[in-house]
Amino acid sequence: MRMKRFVIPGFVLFGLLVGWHLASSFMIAKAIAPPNAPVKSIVRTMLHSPYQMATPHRNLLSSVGLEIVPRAQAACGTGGTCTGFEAKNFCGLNDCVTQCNNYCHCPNCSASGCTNYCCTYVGLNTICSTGTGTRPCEICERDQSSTNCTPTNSPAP
Amino acid sequence: MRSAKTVLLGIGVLCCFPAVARPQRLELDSQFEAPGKNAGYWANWDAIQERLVFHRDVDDPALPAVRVVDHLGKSLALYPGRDFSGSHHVDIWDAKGAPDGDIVISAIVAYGPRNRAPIPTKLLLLTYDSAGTLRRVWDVKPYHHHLITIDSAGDVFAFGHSDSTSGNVPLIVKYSPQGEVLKEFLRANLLPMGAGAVEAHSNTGETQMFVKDNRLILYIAPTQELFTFSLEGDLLTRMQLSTTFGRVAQLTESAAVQSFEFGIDSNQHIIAQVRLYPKDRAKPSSLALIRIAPDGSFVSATPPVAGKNDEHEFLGLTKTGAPVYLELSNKGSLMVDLNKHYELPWLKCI
Repeated sequence: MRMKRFVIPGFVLFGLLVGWHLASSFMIAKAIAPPNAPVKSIVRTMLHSPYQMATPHRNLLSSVGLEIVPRAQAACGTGGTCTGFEAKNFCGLNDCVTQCNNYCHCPNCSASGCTNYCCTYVGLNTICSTGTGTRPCEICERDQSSTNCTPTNSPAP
Repeated sequence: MRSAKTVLLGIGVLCCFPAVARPQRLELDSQFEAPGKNAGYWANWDAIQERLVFHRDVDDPALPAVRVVDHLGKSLALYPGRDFSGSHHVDIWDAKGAPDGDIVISAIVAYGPRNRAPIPTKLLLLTYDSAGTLRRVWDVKPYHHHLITIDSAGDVFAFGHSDSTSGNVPLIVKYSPQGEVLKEFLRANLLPMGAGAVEAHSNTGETQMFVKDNRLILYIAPTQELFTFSLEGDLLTRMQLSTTFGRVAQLTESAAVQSFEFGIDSNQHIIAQVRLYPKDRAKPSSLALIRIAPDGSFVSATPPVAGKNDEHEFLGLTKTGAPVYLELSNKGSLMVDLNKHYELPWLKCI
């Protein structure tokens, strides 16, 4: 009778720990799997992942919380709507490639430095502010693109 | 008997002239690789492993996003697009070599066309081993890391911003090789611009971060400040370099100075490549290497060189303190020639 008093809570505790571990592993695999991946595929990734996986800034509770209530879009600056775009240096479709023979950083390109920047969707929203770039990328901070970057769903200036 | 003497003589000669690993020419021929929107590469120099690490954004999983060329001429191509099936494109924000031969990448894997938003994205730190196999995937959301560097213990330092609503987020995160957060430091409110300082472009140059002699060095271009941290994240020094660059501008009669790659030599002097913009806008800009004392004061510089577009790009210093430049070979490939000797800022002054 006394034995039973310890064994049952022990099993419950063990079950909870195993459940916690499995649920954590599942949420990590889900974070890394493609969006809308089927549960079967996530479980397979969880059990037979060829690489080590981690979500350093989330634990099981915060991951579950984010699943239930997705993070609200953060209000940003004075520049208006957050879009999740940032200016990123890039190569290709610009003078940099022809002038610098396929490397991106022309150190002696006198006019612009020969580094082009274009809006790219990142998904974070806090550093958007009043745009200082050129159309159609005004929404990116300090975007200096002169290229054909066309984020079609970005708000009009 | 005679052959035995010859062998002994040969051994004697070898003993007198110990084998030295001869520095090599590291070369990447990317001319015919994906012309168009995924054409060019960014280059980083891995001083410890003596490797060139090239990276770029790719829209096609069949294209390598990272290429590594080591001092033995061995080349390695990494294809993150293949490792994330269903992804539309992969943007590489930074890629650095780790002391154990691994390559760590800060990447955004996107599951939708570039010209549409919102699309699902994964903000990841990826680790590939020296054979090109993906070994670690860390989803670092809500962080977006613009720059990364790795210390000798394999800990990863990442400089970026987060979508936290607090505004006073730590801008540097130190991760263990297992993907645990070991330390978060450099709070945004320490900087006049806050988290806005983590941006891709500034008129004053490019932000840089690297580990040297067990210290983490961070130069924030928008505020022209150089921070030195211990590897535990303690702030050791904070230097404002705008006066130094102002002095360089004054001495060279330039209107503006932009700084790019940084290195620290064995005397703890800062070596930086700067672009000098003349007051007469019709004239071309020129390049120089400058040397800055550990207290932030200007020491010397190489004479400014007004070169052509293919003028070489400073990538950092070798273990022995020699400058490393990315150049174009005669046939148009990208290369670093470690046999070349370059003029250093302590040899000549402007």
